[in-house]
Amino acid sequence: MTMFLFLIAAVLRVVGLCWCLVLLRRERDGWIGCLAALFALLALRSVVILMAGDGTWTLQGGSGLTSLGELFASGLMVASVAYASRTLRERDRSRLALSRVKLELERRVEERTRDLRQSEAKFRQLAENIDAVFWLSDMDHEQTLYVSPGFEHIFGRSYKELGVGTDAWLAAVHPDDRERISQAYQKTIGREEFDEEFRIISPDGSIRWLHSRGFVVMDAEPNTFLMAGLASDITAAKENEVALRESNEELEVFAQTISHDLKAPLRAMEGFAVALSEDYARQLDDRAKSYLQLIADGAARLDMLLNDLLQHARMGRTLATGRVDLDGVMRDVIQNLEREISESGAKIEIETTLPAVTGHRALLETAMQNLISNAIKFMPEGRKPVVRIGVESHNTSHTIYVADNGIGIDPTHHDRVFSIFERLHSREAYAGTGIGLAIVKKAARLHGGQVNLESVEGEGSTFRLTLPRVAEYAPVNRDQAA
Amino acid sequence: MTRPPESAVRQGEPVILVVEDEHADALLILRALKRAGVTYDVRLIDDGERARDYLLGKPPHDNRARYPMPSLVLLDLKLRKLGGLDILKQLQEAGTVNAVPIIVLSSSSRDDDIEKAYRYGANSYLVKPARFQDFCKLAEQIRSYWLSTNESIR
Repeated sequence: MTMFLFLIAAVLRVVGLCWCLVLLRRERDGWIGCLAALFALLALRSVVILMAGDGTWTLQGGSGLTSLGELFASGLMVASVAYASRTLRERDRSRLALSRVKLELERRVEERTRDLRQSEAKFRQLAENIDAVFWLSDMDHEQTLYVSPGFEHIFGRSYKELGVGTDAWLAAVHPDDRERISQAYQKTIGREEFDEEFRIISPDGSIRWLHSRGFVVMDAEPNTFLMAGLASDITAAKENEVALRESNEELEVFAQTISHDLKAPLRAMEGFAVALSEDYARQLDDRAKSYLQLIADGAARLDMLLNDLLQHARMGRTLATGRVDLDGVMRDVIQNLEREISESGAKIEIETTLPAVTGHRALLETAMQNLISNAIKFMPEGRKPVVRIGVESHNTSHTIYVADNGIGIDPTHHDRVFSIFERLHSREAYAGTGIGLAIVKKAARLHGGQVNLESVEGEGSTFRLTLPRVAEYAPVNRDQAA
Repeated sequence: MTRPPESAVRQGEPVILVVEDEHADALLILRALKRAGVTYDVRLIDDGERARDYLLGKPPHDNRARYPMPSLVLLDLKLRKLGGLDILKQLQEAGTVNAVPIIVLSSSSRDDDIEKAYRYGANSYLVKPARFQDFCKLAEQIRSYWLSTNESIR
C-alpha cells in the first residue's frame, strides 16, 4: 500500500515536472514562470531523492516525508501547475482575441480612409469636371465654404473677384434679372429652396443663361444652416427655345401671309367669273357659262383648303382654356350646320346631356362640327342620315361619341383617315379638303385626349372623342337651361 | 363706276371713301356696294399716304368742297407706302379718328391685326369674304347698319 501511494506520488511528480518545464518554456518571465521554476525544482529534488541511494526504492527521502504527505504535496503541486497553466491559457486566449479585434479595427479604419479618399476623389472629379457650379455655403455665417472650379468657367471670373459673401454672385446677374433673383435668393434665408433661371454677364460682356438650384443640406447644430447648390449653363437650351419660338412665330406669320396673299387672287377669280356670267349672260353660251362655273368652284375649293390649312397651322399655339359647356357647343354646331342638316334631312339625336369640360371652346367646336358634318356627309345615295351624339363618362375622362348610319370605313383605313390631306373618296363623291379629321385629332391631342373610330363598312361609323376631366364641372341640366 | 377723287364733282352727295390698293378687290367692293343699292359718291384711293392726307385734310385735301369728309371709310390694312394700321394710328394721334366711322375691310383674320385695329380706333372690323355672293351680303349689311341705322357726327 505504501508502495502504491509512493508510485502514484512519483508519477504525479514526473507529470508535474514535465508540465513545469512546458510552462517554463512558454512563460519565462512573470509570476507563472517563477512558480513553474519553483515547482520544477521541488519536483526534481523529490524525484532525485526518490531515485537516490543504492537503487532501491525507498520511502525515506532526504526530506523525510511520509508517503501520504508526499502524495498530498505532489497532488497540490500538480493542481497548482494546472491552475497556473489554465490562467495562462485564458490570458493567451484573451490576448489573441484582443489582437484580432485590433487588427479588424485597423483594417476598417484603413478601409474607411480609402473609401473616404476615393469618395473625395470622386466628388472632386465630379465637382471639378462637370460643366456646372457646385457650391456650399454657411448661410448663418454668410460664408461660402466651397465653389467648384466650374464657376470660373461659366462666370468667366473667379468667385473671389466678386466677393466672399454667399450672395456675391448676384453682382454677375443680368440687371434685368437681378431684382427677381435677389428676391428669390432672400427667401432661402427662410430655408426655402431656390430654383431659378436667369442670365449672367461675363466680364467680356457675353450673356449666359443659368439654371440654379439650392437646397438646405445640413441642420445638425441649431446655429448651422448650410445650403448646397448646383448651377448649370442652359444657354444652348434657351437659345434653342427662343429659336423654336421664333420659328413657330415665323411659321404662323408665313401661314397668315400665304392666306392673305393667296386669297386676293382667289377673290378676283371667283368674283369676276361671277361678274362675267352675270354681265355677259346674253353673249355667253352654256359651255362658256359652265367654264365660268368651274373657275368659281375651283376658287371656292381653294379658299376652303386655305381656311382649313390655316386653322390646322394655327392650332399649335398655346391655348387659352376655360370652362366649355359642350351642350352649348353642340347647339352652336347644329346651328352652323343648319343648311347641311335640312338639305340632307338628317336626324340629330342627342342621347345624353353633354358635360362641361376644361378646354378651348373654338377648337372643341371645330372638332365637334367636323365630326358631325362628316357623319351627315358620308351617306350612301338615298339614305337619310341619323346621327347619335352622347357622352360616356369615366373616372378621369369624358368620351363624346358621334355615331352615324353612313357608308362606314374599312378598318384598314382607320389610321389613315386622321392624317392631313388623306381622302378615301373622290371629291366628286364627297366634297371636302381631307383636313377635317386631322383637325379633330390635333384638337383632341392638344386637350390631352384622343379620338378613335369604330366602323362597319356599309352600316356606319362611331367616332369617340375622349377628353380628360381636367376639372370637374356639373353638367348643365337641360331642363334648367331651358 | 370708279371715280378718282380729283374728278369728284357730285356736289353735296355723301361720300364713301374706299382705301384699297388691290384693283380687283376695289372693283368687287364697288360692284357689291352698287348691288346693295348704295347710292353714295364712292371714291377710291389706292395709296396709304394719300388716304391719310385726305382724312387729315392736308393740302390739297383741305378743300373740303372738293374733297368732302366721307360719311364712311372702308379701309384695307395692306396698302402701298402706309399700311391701314399706321393710318389709323396717325389719325388717332391727330385726334381725327372718331370724326368718321372707319370700317377695316381686310383679308387678315389675325388676332393681332384685329386687336390693333380696334386699339387705334377702328369702328368695325370685317374680313373680306372669298365669294362674291358673300361680298354682296356684307355690302348690304354695311348699307343697312352704317349708312342707315348708325348715327355719325355730321
